[in-house]
Amino acid sequence: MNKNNNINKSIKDDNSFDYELENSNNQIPSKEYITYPEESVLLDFNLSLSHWELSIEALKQVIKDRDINKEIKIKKQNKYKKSLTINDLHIQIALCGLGAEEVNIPLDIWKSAYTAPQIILVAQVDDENNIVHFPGILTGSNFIKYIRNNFSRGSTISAPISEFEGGVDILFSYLKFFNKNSLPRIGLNKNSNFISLNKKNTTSLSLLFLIIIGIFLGKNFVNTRLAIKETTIVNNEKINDLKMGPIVSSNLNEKCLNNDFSNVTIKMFETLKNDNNIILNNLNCSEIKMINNNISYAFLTTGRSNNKSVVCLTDDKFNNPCKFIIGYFQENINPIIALANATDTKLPKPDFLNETFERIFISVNDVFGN
Amino acid sequence: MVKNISLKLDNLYKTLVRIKLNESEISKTNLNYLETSTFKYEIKEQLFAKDFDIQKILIQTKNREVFDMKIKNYCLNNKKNIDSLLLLRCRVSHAILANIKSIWYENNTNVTFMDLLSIFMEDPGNRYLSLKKKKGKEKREFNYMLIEELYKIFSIKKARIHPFSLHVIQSYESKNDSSISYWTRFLINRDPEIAAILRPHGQRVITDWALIYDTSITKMMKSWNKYGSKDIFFDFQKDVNFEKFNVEKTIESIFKNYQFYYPKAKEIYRRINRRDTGWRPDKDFLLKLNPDHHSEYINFNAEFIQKILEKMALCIRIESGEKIKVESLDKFNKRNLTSVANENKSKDDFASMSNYLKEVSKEKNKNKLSDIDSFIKIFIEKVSFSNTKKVFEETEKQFTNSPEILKAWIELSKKREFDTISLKTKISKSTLSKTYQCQNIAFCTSNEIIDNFQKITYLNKNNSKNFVDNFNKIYKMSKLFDIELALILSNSFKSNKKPSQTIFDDSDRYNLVFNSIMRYVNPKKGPKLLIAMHVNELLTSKGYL
Repeated sequence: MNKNNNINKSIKDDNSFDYELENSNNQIPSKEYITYPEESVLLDFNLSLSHWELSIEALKQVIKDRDINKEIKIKKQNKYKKSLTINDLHIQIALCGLGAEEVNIPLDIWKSAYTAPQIILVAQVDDENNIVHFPGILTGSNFIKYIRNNFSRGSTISAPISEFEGGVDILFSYLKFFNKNSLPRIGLNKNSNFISLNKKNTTSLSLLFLIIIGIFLGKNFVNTRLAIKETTIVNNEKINDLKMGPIVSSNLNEKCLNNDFSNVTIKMFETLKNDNNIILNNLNCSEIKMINNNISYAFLTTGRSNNKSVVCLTDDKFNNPCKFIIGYFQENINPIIALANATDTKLPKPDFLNETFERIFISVNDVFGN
Repeated sequence: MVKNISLKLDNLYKTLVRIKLNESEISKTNLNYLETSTFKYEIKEQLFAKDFDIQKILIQTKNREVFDMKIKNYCLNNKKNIDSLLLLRCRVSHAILANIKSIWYENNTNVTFMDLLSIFMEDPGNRYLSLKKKKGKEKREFNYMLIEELYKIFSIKKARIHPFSLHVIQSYESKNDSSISYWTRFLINRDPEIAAILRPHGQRVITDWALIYDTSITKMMKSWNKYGSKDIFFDFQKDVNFEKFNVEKTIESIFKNYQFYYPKAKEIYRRINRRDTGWRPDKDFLLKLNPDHHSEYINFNAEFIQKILEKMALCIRIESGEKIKVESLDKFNKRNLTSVANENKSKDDFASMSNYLKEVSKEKNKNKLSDIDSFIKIFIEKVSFSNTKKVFEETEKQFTNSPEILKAWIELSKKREFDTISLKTKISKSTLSKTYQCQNIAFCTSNEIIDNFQKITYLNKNNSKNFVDNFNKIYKMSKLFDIELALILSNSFKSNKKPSQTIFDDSDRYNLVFNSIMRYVNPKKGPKLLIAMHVNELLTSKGYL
């Protein structure tokens, strides 16, 4: 018993114990447990699966719980592209953590209309607790709209979770009631068609399909597509309020310090500046920065402004084909041929019995990317 | 004050908390050892060897170390010593008790306190341990050598050491820079058994490593800006001027790299170990997280990156904790207003759909337009009632054996929220969710309604009579629903400009209708007012109320 008293005394006299008392509590976070959304799917604790596998298991469990196994069938799964087919709907699953406020959506699957999904379903996964939450969906057409408004240079685009609504139930409701033809597969095509339908022969788009897409993407889409068939370039583009005048310095990084412009941007301005038929406008640094940020998905095209043929840059071919006027053409030349020559682009053969060229959209990334 | 501390220390290092079997109760229950309610815990004073002198521990070790670490180091240097280990075993037993109490009180679990305690309280406090051998039993001294032996055995099984206190002591390291009490709490909170118990109650226990992946860049940076500091960089490398160095960019880059490499590393771990828990970043993994652009003067070694990650996790935890605190306070302040507010929210959801239908309708007759309101409202109520009835009647069979299920329904009918019901009935939130099936009721309701909307959409003057008659036969709404209203609705579901376009072609309009029904039946926040109303009606009609 005396020994025990001795222990007490020693502990009491030891300063390190005070240190421990003072410091140990500081290290304890105020909350060790984190809540999760009520509608989350709780999977078996013993499962040891990847995030993708957990999301599929959760989907299966919800289908079972809702007793809709007969109506809803998961057909194909592609774990590399994180996509699957439920009934006849092509769906991409965008994965993120359960506590995430935004989700990164891989864009590779969106490049071509052949692989582009019709719907994105977000799955928030906690692989330690095997909890999956589906906040909701976004249709392909709405996703394309989102991309247009939120440019991404990388292979993914980040979208807030709040963009996805309706939980997993709305997906099942779509599968049951929604007109599947109204959910087209729209791809981000770098070549001629920014938006193309999921048909092998995209060049023979029927007027009917154009109208359906037009309804989704607004009347401008239909107008623009139809305008392609016209031989003259209409002067209905939104006139950009950029000042006209020659670009002062060809070295963009020198002109705009503290800006790290991509090689594509620099090469494009350099090439256009050196062309005898094109005179570049004097863009300010913030404008060049804006162009640079969106350069991966930008197209060069021609337009009309103040009775002049102008060089346009756009990331929205259909609704705003002359988003930026970056320069103008010398008078008395064919702007389409001049732009094609400047960018070393081969013009498509004109239609039979049609001697004029269609308006061209030149992918900046394709021409100046290599 | 000194007396109090002395008494406290007396308890912490000299007495051991252990599970006690109440023999009298066991005899009553025919030796049913599974009946854990027969267990109790006791605090037992431990006897130390006469020649054991704690002064030796304090002298032999570095002054700066925390007291518990001094004892641990003494144990490591004197592996045959039983008493020094006993000091830690005592301390850990108290830490277990305190932490389990805190978990049990903070979380509304349906597990009894003793059941929860018995998961971790496995050390009887003996000085010797008898091990089963092929030829009888072997009496072993309870010292650090035994821990090392047990560690080898349990490592093969890929499990933690039993008793739990030895697992705590064995894994307690100086680099933790914390007391053994903190370390005990850390390990308890991350124990898979605790996670399994707490998960149905809406709580998840998550390691730092999963937590960092769990978070998005915005949330992480928000947490870091609030609670992170660049002191961590100064502490690590004092000779570098961090003013010029963009700490935020470094943090962001490490985080992004972590998000990229974590799923891959986990996948490999999962394949090798065939389990998900227990992954920790190794040196190779940590070095992969090196920030993309950083000053050449800073040496981002694995240890430093790990420290940054731990700090990140801590920031996220504090931010989450604070968020919960704020939410709880808000909840508390608004408690009385909640039901009214949610009622209004449900009405808003309903109104948005109703207004939309009225807006798109060509009908200008005000009376008819108000009929749309009443029709949709009553239609949703009727369908949701029949779906609620199905679910209720499915569980009705369980009322005799599980009266708490009936109690749960009664509580729901009082427009109470899940948290309150769980607290009152001791039924976990996930079980309540499975019992009530609110989401499923809403889903079935919206399916049935949209199915009817789809039929209504394609009605015309020629085919509407049959549909209306059948509809009224099923739903008994002839006072409200007639051919005229059917055709008004049909027009509402079509586009004014293009009648061939319906809500079933337009995702935005479809989403509005679907979400309105879902939220009206099963609002995400607050009590489920509509379902509660149905349950009240069912309970009353069936004589339970």
